[in-house]
Amino acid sequence: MKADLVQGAVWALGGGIIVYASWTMDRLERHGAALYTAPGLVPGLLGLVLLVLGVVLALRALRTGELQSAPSPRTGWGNTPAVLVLCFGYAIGLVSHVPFWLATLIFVTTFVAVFEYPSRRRMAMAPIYGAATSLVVTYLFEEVFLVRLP
Amino acid sequence: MFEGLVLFGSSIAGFLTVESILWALGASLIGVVIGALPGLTATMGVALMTTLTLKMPSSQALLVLVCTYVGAIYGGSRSAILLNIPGTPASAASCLDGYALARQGRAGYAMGIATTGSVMGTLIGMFFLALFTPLLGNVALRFGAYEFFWLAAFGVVISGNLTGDDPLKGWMAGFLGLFLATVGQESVYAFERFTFGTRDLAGGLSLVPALVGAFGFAELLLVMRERRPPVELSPVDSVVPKIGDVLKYWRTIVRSGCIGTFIGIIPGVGEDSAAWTSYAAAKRASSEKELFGKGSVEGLMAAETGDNACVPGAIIPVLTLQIPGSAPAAVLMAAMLIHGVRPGPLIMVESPHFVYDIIAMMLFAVIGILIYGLVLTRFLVQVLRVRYQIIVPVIFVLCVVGSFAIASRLFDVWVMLAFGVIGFALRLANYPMAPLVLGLVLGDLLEKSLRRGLVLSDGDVTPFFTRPISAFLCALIVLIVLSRFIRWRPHAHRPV
Repeated sequence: MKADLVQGAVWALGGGIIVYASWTMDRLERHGAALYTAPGLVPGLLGLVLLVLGVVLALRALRTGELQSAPSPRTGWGNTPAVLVLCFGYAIGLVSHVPFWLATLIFVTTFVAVFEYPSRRRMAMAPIYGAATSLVVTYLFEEVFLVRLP
Repeated sequence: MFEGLVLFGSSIAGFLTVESILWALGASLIGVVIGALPGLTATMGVALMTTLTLKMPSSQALLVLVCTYVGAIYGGSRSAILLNIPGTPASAASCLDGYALARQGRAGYAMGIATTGSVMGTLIGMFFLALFTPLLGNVALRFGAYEFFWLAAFGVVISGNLTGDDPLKGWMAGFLGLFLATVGQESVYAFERFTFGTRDLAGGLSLVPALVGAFGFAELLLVMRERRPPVELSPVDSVVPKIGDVLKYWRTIVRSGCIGTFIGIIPGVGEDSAAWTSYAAAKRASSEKELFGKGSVEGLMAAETGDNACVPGAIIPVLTLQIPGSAPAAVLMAAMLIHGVRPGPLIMVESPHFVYDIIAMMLFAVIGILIYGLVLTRFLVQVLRVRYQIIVPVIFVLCVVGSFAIASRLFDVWVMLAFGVIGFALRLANYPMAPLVLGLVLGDLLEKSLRRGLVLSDGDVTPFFTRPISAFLCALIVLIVLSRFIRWRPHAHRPV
């Protein structure tokens, strides 16, 4: 498949970069390190394996002759962009910048409201889910599990 | 024999406190709920619970994790029977006959059979766990750096081979995991590799945030990718199976229990393979072959016994070799290390009671799933009606808090996010996650064993190929890889 050809090329390229980075890595000979104890040995070998497997994947795609894009059962992005924006917004934008309980309240409320749209009745419940999650998670982690919150 | 029974008895006695029993029952319920919800897997459940139990005493934390693990594998059968959607990959085989029975108006009966199979499977697995762990521990004492190197490589190769549709992609995922495990300071000179000057990466990628990302966040992204229609559940009849039905299939139960346990012992293969193999074996041996796929009680019993027997089976190599038998077992092993328990060949010498502690924990989990299977069926049916739009943000909050809780640093949250996106992308491209996880977990062992072996032999690689166990494992890996390459040939000449 075309996708496999592209993926194979990406894997081979990644493997090649790892091999190059490992080969040019400091071998610490001044510390008496032998070649077989050099820090780049294992990542270099693993990079080589990834490179070979990437080439095999690409060659297999070429040899099967199925270069036309086959329809995959898993096509389309669906809700993924919206979920990514909301989750990254919470984890990077809100957490540690505003109090945890507030960040969680805002995130859960927004998430539920966005994905329950256009049902107004369900959207109206969003702040309740947000507040309940914020309260329960904050209490459980701080008081029961004794875990520090971000 | 008697010493084992005494240790087992003292382990059970140790957990007979109100607090432990409540934790066990609570964790089993959480496991069952996570397992029952399609898209949320046992690995995710164990990873999330690992972060929740960081501050608990190690014995109670591991009790919670074992109960979650057993509960989640069992819980997957609920949605398999009621919705024809496996709650976890381990329950895929249960859909065939479980849902067929539900469509015949026997959903409750099917759940009762699934509960019985799961309980029997776990008990058989526990028996083998008690029997084989000391034996395998003795064999493992003969392992040196050379053998452990090949064992780690074998784990990744066999996991890549047997999980997912394409072994090549499985191996790639596994070797990617092994490579990612090399990020950070290496063990001999503390030299920083692939850190790009980032101090947070010097200690390497934290395992638990990576696992929470690859399984938790990635699964949430997959679940939310498409809006699901409201669920239509089959009506539920009586959940108590007849004893005669259970006794009638005792051969299937024993066979599936043995198959499940032995597949569990194979590194990185896991519960779904155990269920399918048990199902196939039951079908071959059955006098009612024509019923399989159309509501066969025997088929459902085989699948459920097999996948639950795999759980104790997957823990056997964790305890004796520090090699996990499945993806959830890999997370469990990581949790053991976090809690200061060091499984491995010396476990039967240094702390034999720990093995029996694990078996006792499983007994509590069995009691939990038995109770929930018989009493809470209608509650679990309601759980399946909860909308993902509400569950997903709550679980994501737990992913964030859990990742942060490991070391109280935001960098681990970013690791979780990165692994979530990587895991999501890999899944979309049909790369299995179990080899990636196994690679991450085994990377350290593989590297240390290779370098230690080379130091011992002064750079000579021949001991890697001439020592009997090493040679055997090496030959096994070559055979596995070659068998797959040979299979591709006819495919290559298939007309377009």
